[in-house]
Amino acid sequence: MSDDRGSTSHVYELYAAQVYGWAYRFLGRHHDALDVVQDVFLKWMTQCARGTPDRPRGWLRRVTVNRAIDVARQRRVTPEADIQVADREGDEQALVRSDREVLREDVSTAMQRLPEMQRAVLVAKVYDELTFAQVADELDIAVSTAKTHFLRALTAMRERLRVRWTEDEDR
Amino acid sequence: MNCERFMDLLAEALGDELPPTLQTEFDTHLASCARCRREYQSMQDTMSTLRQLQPAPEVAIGRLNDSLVLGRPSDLRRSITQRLNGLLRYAAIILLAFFAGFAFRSGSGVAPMDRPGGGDGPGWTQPAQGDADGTVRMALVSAHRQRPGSTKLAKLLVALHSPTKQ
Repeated sequence: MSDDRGSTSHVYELYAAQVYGWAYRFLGRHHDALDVVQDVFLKWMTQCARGTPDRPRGWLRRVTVNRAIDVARQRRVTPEADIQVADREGDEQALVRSDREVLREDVSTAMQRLPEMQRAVLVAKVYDELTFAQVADELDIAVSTAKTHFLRALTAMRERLRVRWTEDEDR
Repeated sequence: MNCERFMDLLAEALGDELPPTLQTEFDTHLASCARCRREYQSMQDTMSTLRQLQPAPEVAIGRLNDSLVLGRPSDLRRSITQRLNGLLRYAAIILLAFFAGFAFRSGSGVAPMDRPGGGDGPGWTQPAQGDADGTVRMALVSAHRQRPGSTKLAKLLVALHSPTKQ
């Protein structure tokens, strides 16, 4: 048990923030991302009882992405802005958010509307810059499927941004 | 290379994964076909925009720890095992502080743990000495809520707050 504690603590210190980032980019919600972090490291502790993975980062990322997909499916994440940011800023300040912040929320909303697999592939490619082979391995899908998901997701986001840009020009 | 082949390679091109020979062919077609060029450019612009607009918030490890410890009611029930790892570490710090205070009281006759107002239960009125103490206090409160009086930490909690009742 003491070895497990040391191993978990060490891995936690190294990767907790990264795990949170992976989860947050996918889910777009602070508390959902925190839930994923807790679940992932609980699973790590269980895994270490059987044997420590050779590549902790890869193992953690795979589990994080899969857990985040599960969370999104179970909770059917409602497209909305990060509540924590709004709470912190207050309603009055939220009314005078910059166009950039509004656009960020719009993008976040559009991302949440993507099917989970498309979102997972898009996040992995755009933010984490994984290769299609790595994405396919992580999500247990074919490389060709990963490419298809990527193009469909990017096309959907492009259309959403195109609408947004057109609206901005019409003002 | 024709447009159909171009589209087949688009995903890899956007991910910078084309091998050199194919990349050369891809670039040649790009230069000669306005329609494919527009398609490629718009997809690249979209990726660039996404990267600029949705970074994850920077979370310092300390803030992440605080959030996990405070959590929400459902989290408190679910992750007791995980928290115990950190709580045992904090308990060691508390024990050291307790015994240091006990030794001081034994030497000077002063009760440093006494708090004005007294009371039966934890009042948590003493301000935290930095973030670590605040985290420790909340961690102990969390553990106490789950199993009041039934864990070593909870007993320590009671002992710290009512040293004269031991």
